[in-house]
Order: sequence, then structure tokens, then C-alpha cells
Amino acid sequence: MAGLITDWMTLAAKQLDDDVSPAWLKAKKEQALEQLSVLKTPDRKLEYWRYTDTKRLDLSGYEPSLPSELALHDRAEDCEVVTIRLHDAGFEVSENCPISLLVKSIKDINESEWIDLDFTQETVINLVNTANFCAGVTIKYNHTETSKPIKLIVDYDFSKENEWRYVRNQFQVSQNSKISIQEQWSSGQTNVVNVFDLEAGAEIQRLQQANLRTHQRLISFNQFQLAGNTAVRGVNQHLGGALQHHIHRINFNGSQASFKMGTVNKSINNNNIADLVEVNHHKKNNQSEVTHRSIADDSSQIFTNAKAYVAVGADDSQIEQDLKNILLSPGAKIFSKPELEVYADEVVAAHGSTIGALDEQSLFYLQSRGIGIKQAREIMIESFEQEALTC
Amino acid sequence: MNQKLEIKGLEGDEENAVVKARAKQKYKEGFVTDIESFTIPPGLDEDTIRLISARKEEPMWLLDYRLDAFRKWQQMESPSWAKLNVPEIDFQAISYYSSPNANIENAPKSLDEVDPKLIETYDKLGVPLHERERLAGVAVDAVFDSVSVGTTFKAELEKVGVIFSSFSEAVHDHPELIKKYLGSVVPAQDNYFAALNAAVFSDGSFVYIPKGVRCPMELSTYFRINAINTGQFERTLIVAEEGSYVSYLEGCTAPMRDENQLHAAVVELVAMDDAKIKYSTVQNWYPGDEDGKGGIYNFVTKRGNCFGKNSKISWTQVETGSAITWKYPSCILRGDNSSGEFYSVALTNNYQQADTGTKMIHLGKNTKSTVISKGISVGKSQNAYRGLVRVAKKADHARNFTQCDSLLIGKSCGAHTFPYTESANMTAKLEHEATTSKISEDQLNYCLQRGITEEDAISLIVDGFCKEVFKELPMEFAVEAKALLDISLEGAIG
Amino acid sequence: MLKVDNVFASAGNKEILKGLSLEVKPGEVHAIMGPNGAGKSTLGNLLAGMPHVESQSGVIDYLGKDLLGLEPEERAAEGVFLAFQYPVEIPGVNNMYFLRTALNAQRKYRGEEPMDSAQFLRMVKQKIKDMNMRDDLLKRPVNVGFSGGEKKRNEVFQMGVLEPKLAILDETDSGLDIDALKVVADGVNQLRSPDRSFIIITHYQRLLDYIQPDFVHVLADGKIVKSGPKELALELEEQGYGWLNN
Repeated sequence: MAGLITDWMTLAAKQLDDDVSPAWLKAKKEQALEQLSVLKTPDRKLEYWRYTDTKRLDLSGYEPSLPSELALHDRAEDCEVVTIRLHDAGFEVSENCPISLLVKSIKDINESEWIDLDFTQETVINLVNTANFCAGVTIKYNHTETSKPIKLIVDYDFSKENEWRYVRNQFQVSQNSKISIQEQWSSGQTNVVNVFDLEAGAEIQRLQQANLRTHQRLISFNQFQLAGNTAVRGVNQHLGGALQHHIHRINFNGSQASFKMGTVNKSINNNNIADLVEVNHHKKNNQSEVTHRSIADDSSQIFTNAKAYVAVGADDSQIEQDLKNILLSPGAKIFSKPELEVYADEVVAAHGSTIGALDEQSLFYLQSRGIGIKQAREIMIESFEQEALTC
Repeated sequence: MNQKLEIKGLEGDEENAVVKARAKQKYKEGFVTDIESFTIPPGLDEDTIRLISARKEEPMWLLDYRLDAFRKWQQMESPSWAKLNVPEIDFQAISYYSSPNANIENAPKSLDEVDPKLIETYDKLGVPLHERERLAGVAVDAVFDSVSVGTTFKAELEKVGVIFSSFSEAVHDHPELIKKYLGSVVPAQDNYFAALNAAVFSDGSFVYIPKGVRCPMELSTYFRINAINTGQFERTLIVAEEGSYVSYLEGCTAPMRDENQLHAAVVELVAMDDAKIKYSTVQNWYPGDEDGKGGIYNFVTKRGNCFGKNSKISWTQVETGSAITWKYPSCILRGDNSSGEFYSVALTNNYQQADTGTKMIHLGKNTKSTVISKGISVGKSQNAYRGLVRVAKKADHARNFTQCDSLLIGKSCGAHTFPYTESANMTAKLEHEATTSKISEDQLNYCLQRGITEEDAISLIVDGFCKEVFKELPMEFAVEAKALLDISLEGAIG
Repeated sequence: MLKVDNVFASAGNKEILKGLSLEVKPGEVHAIMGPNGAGKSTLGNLLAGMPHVESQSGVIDYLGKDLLGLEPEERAAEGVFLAFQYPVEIPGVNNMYFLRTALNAQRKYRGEEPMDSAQFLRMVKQKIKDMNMRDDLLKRPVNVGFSGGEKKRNEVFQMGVLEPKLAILDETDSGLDIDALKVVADGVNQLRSPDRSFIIITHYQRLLDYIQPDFVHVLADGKIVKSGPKELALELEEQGYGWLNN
């Protein structure tokens, strides 16, 4: 473990040597590298990594494995499905990609398009991404009256399973444009940073579908920059894997915007999932609603965290955090932490967090109608998940 | 207005009159007692500790305990995780011992020999120590700076086998009990301030309730900081043997001074099978002035060990004082079927900062915990609830319910909630609920429409907001607590 | 059909039923009345197999089987149905899906072929019509956002679909207005047949104006203290339960 920071820095230094990036981008990477040099390898003293087994960042001892089973959350819509596949050699875009959707390599990003992210000691592994990223895309979407709704699928499909891949994507959605974005991880060990930049009136429907194989790992940092009157509806499905660590950071930079996100964390065998959502109500009159449903079975563990920050003067903020957790086995553990940090008084904020087993009364109700205990449990779990998926 | 609004806390006219009268005064405990005292020079090293220990004529084992704690403390760092802005504390600028008796030989043997000025001080604070004026049914241990000046009703309590004395006395009279339990709940190296306390603690109270005894009266300690530039480091230990019961109250005040003063206490509670301890605190240390000048830094470690089966420890606190409060009265629920409770009202005004809450550690089977926390932020203050509920692997059928509500009064204050819940047992059930809002306009308008002034309306609504906690306090304390709240709310409008 | 013989049972750790005996023959409707806390609901819950409701002694014979030895879902498949006093909400699971799962689980237990969704839909639509209920009931998640009355109607509707042999209605009339009460009673009356029996647990006589019982029993302090024809219910309505204390 001691070597992790050094490993990251060595990798970054090596990349910088043979990098052909423009000077400004090299400077960004060097800056990240410098920041890294004073940071510590993440451990449980860091709040963001408190409940994560960071030993699992180490990829030695990797064995190939099969994906877990997951009922896919599919929103059937009449839309154009555009696929971007990220792979070892770069990326490819499906041929039906309309002109309203501009896709280019992240390496070709302009300085003016670059969005700096606030990485600190707490987000140390995400900072590693800035120093080391070498794959990803920038996407600009400008909806026109005549264009058919678009569903963009980003598929992470890297062949090397014993090496981390650092990916950075930036999604820019122009004024009043609406797009649906779905991410999925077919293979590979991924550390991804996504930046979603929504201009006024833009809307995103986003699905993060991390259905990982037993030895697959995924670290994601997702930042949403929300201008006025924007809306985000997000669904995350986190299942399986050796390690999953997701941070969603939402910044309300205008007013009348809304962010609603539902997450299902399902940890079925020896999985380790951390799911952190941080909503920053910097401005007045925005609404956020975060729903987490987590299920831990076998010897797995889950950390679920929702944090809302309301700045001084950010009146008329509405905040709801709903975290419910179910333990299905004696070996599983759940850590749940809803947080409110409020500096304005015209605020309505509420949160709830529960940890328990499946509700006995409900199970009995199902049984009393003739449904066997095993199936009754399955129905209850499905019901539990639905609360997050349909929020 | 046809909707019926429920406003809790409207009953009890008489009680309200007392509260009102009391609320007219500002920090009335802010006076200084002019008394000759013995204060050791500021500074902290092993010699300071040896000096304190020698002055108290302590046995060697206790000095070793202190020195060991001191060495540990030197290796530790001040905690930075709380949502507090703590100015750097210069531990060398503090005096660690101050007693109102210049000479140890002159120390009073009984309350009758205590300096009248001290008796007068406690009279002024509403805690008469003289036999004829004593509060009925409440035994008091009065701690003035670093020493206990006297304990009332000692003889009466001894008759039923209850030991209630200053900590220093207990070290001499009951060394076997102190040796057994000191540091058993809060180990010396537990945290930075607990380690400091273990090294330099001066006095405090010791309570021992023998098997099967229901303590016939409330026990109470009144802590008073008087001397300038001194810190107060008291230590309280309560042991409740099998099947016993005790209710203990604690009050604290200090003079108004421009300098900040440090208070770092440790409280340890031990409850054996079927024993119950009820611990109530009204914390009214000087909070500093309107500009945030002065006030007590209150860093306290309070922890109870529900060691026995069916044991119960209940913490109730009303925190209105101190410039900074860092305090998490906790329960370790070790015995099967044991239960822990935490009821808290924390009100901050002006530039006060509070980071307070509780830890409920469920180790035994069928353990239960209840947490009710009410935070009120006024002025430019910051008020945080921080809590941990942990259910260990073997704590089958553990049950927790937590509710923490925050009320914001004003545009420049902050209210924060940081609850951690951790469960490693699938038969356990944990529930946490929290809300943050300002005073309901509907309630306020309803009161105004009925002719109640805004100030009174706020006080009324805040009282109602805190009702669930106040009802846990012994009667006399509940009135005091309400009054304190009203004083602290001053300037809440505008 | 059902023979309860000197049963002692507890709910949680509290002793509730203290030597209760009751015999129900095919086609009969039995009303169980009594003051609050007498153990009426415990009887229903014991028959359906609710967790934490346990019998200490006594035997319950149901169609020649030891009822207490069966799992709740086995009892259901054997034809025991409990209309809950407080039906639970199951978010995200729609009523149709729930009912079909239940029906097919029961059919499987009985060695019958499962019903496909088309067959099931046809059957359910017909029932909805017969029972004068609204079909939006089907699309909504089980009991979620239902009013008290809707929940009770949903219980009776489920009873209609599952066609039990022994139906126990636990205070199905409580909290219902007169119209809802009629809908519920109609539902029950339609299901009455020579081989189907009912145990109707109620606090008031009101429901019995619409469902004529064959027998009325008074349950007090865990025992049946009085039994009689349907007129007994009227008597009770007039006198209240105060006489029980004398």
C-alpha cells in the first residue's frame, strides 16, 4: 500500500515525458502531480474513504470472472441510440451519430473547455485521474427542433484487467437541450472522472450502470455543473465488483434547477461499495432529492452517504435525503450517513436513514397470500429497489 | 384562521412567570468572587503534575497514572474533525491548579469551616450549602476551581451506604474503588482532551451506590470556575452496583472574562446488572460576549458503560453556555438488554460554536438506544449534531431510534447534522430522522394573531420544540433550563 | 372444516388466548365479537401464521391437517385467507403482478398449471366487474397511497381472486363509510357458498346488518364466553360489553 502514491506519480511522470498534449494541459497534469506528492495514500482516516477497503486498489492477484446478474433498468423510449465505445486504442462512435452531437477525444480538449475540479486530500484517488488520464471524450450536444431525442451510451470496454485505466469525459449540454446518457462498464479496471456541464434550461437523464464482474473495480467521480432552470434525473445501479467508489458532486450555480437521483447499491458477495452524493446549494431556490437503497448480502459491505450543503443566503432550498439499507446476511455490513450543513434559514431540509432486515410484516403479508418465503424475499427486495429506480 | 395549530409547552403559568423573571437578567452568574487563593504558575510539564499530585497528597499509583497519561498526551494531536473553529490553545499559558485555600493545612474539615465568601458565592448562584437553607432532597458537591469546597448530606447518604464525596477525598477513603474504575470507561489515551484531563485533573465528584440501593435523593455537583487564566479539569466517576438507582445533576458557571478559559472534564459511569443511572447537565459556562470575546472552551468526554444485564444509562443535557462546546456523552451497551438514552438541547447564540451529540455502541443482545437532539442556532453561531450508532456483529436484535431536529433563527447562523449509523448485524434495526428548518411562520403568525409579542412567541415555540428533552429533566432543573434558554435567545429577533 | 380446541397462545411475550375453542363447518359464517384487547385479532393472526404469535398448547385441525404445523404460505395454498386489519404497503410492486404471483404459487402447491397473463387478466377483469370495484386498483402498487377504505376493498378483492376455503376478515369494517361497507359486504356475500366458510372479526354489529352470520361468538379475555344466533349481535349492540365485567 505504501507504494500507491509513488506508483501513481511514477506513472504520471512517465506519461508526461512522452505526452504530446498542449502545454496548458501538461501544466494541469503537472500541477496535479505536485498536489499528489504531498498527499497520503487514502485510508480510513479520510472521510471519503473511511469505509472503503483501499487495499483493493491494488490489482495484483487479479483473476478473470463473470459478471453478476442484474435486472437492467431500461427506459424504453423512442429515441436515437448513439454508442461510444471506449477501448484500449481510443474510442469509436456509432455511425448514426447526428451532427447535433459533437464527439472528440479528450486529448483534443481546448483550454477554454477545460473545467477545473476541486480535488483535495479527501478525493485523492480522483486527483490521480487528472494526473494520469489518457482516454475519454468531450461531448457537446445542441438539440435542434427537428432532431429526434438522443440516448447516448458510453461503454467502457478495456481489455487489460490488471491495469487501471484513467478516463476523463466532459459532457456539455447546450441551452434547453435534452439528452439521455447511459454509462456501462463491460470490462476493465476504471478510474473515471465525468464532468456534466448543463447550460440554462438543459436537461439530462442519466443512468450509471455499474454491473461489475467479481474482480472488476470502478472508481468514479461525477460532477454536475447546473445553470438555472436545469434538471437532472439520475439513476445509478451499482452491483458487484471487488471495489466500487462513486462520488457525485452537484453544484447549483443558478436558480430553479432540480436534481433528483436514485441509487441502488447491491452488494451480493464479497463486494465493497461506497456511494457518496454531495449536493451544493450555492444559490437560491433549487431542489435536490437523493434516494439511496442499499442491500448487502454475504460478506460484503456498503457505505452510503448523502451530503447537502446550503450556502449563506441560498434561501428557498429544498433538500431531501432518503437512505434505506437492508442487511441480508450475518456477515454483511452497512454504514449509512446522511449529512446536512445548512447556513441559510429559509430552508426545508429533511433526511432519514434506516438500517434493518426485510420487513417481517410485509413478508408475512406476502406469505399469507401463498407466496413462498424465498420468492417473498425477492419481491420485497425488488420493491425496495423500485423506490430508488422510480424516484 | 381555522386550522388548529399545536404549540407545545403552553401550560404552566406559574412556571412561565418564574422563567420570565429569570429571563430578564443577563448572564447573572458572571460575577467574580474576590477571595485569596493558591494558584500554581502557568505552565505544563511533569513537574506541574507532580506538584498537583503532591498537593493532593496522592498515592504513588495515581501519580504514575497521571504521568503515563501526560506522556501519551504529548504524543497526541488536538482533534480537527469537529465542525469547530478552535483557536490554538497555549497549554503553557494556563494554570492547572487553583484553590481558594492558600494553605493546605487550613483546608476546611467540614462545611462549617468553609470561607463565608465561598458560601456566599454558592448562595448567589442559587445553590445554598448551609444546612438550614439547603435544597431539600438534593445533595450537593460544590467544586470551586480545582477543589471541592464541601459536600452536603454526606452523613445522611452514608446511612444507606451511598458514597458521595469529592474525588480527592475518595482517593484517600476508597482507593480500591478508584483504582478499579478510574479510566475503565474512558481510558487515559482515549482522546486528546481525555488524556490531558487524566494528567492534570484536580477534583470532581465520586458516587458509589451499593447493591440494591435506590439513592434517596438527587445528587448534584456544581462546578464553578473563578480564578483567572486557570483551566478546570474535573473528573467524575459514578458506579452503580447491581439493582441500584441514582439520579445525578450537574451545573456549571463561570465569571465573565475577556480571556478564554479551558474546561476539559471526564465523566465515567458504570452500571452493573439492573442498575440505572440518570445523568442530567445544565451547562451554562460563560459563553463570551456579543462580539465573541471571552467564554469557556468546553471539551468534555462523558461516557457510560452499561456493563450489566438490563442496565440503563440516560444522559440529558441542556447546553446553552460556553464559547465552544465539544461533547459527546455516550453509552457502551455491553450488557444484554441494556439501554442507553441521550436527550439534548443545544442552543448557540452570538459567536458560540457547538459540536455535540452522542455515541451509542451496541455490543450486547437486545440492546436499545434512543437519541433525541434539538439544536437551535441564533445570531452568528454554528451548531452541529454529530452522532454515531454502531451495532456490533453479536448485538442481535439491537434497536436504535434517533431524531435530531435543528432550528435556525436568523440569517447568519448555521445548523449541521452529521449522523453515522453502522450495522454489522442483520437482526438489528436502526432508524434516524432529522429535519432542519426555521421557525414555522404559521406558528408564529398564530401566536401574533392571539396578541403574543414576537419575542414571547419565539420563546414559546422554542420551548415547545425542546419539550421532549425538558420532560426528562428533574423538575427544578427544567425550570432553570427554560429560563436559560430564554436568556440565550436574547437578540434573536431582528 | 376448522376445529380449534382449547388453544392457549401469546403475541409477543403476552399471553392472549386462554383456552379458546371454536368449530366452523363448511359454508358457515361465524362472527367473532368482543371488546378491545380480548384477543380477536390474535385469533386471526394465529390462524394465518403471523410471526411472534405462538400457541403454547391446544390443537387446530383444518381439513384434517394440523394447521399450526404449516408455514403461512402453505396455509394460504390450503385455502386459508386473512383479510388484514392493517394491510401493508409494498411500493414498486403492482397489484396485478402481486396477485398473479400469489395465485400461481398457490396453484403450484396444489399441483395445478400456472395461469398465463392473458388468462389471468381476463379472470381478474371479470372479478373486478362482479365485485363493483375500480380497475385502477390493478395498476397501482400494492396498497401504496390507498385510502383506508381502498385498502380494505383491496383485501376483499384479493379474497375474490384467490377463492379461499376459509376466509378470516379481521375488522374489515373498521374505518369504512357506509358505501365502502356495502361494497365489502357485497364482495363477501357473492363469495358465500356451501363449501366456503367465513370468520368475521368485528367490534361492531354494523357489518352484520349486511352479512348475516350463522353464529355469533363473544370473545373476552382470550376465551369464547358466549355463543348464539345472529340476534346475539343485536343484543350486544344494545348492551355493550360492560356486562362482561360482572
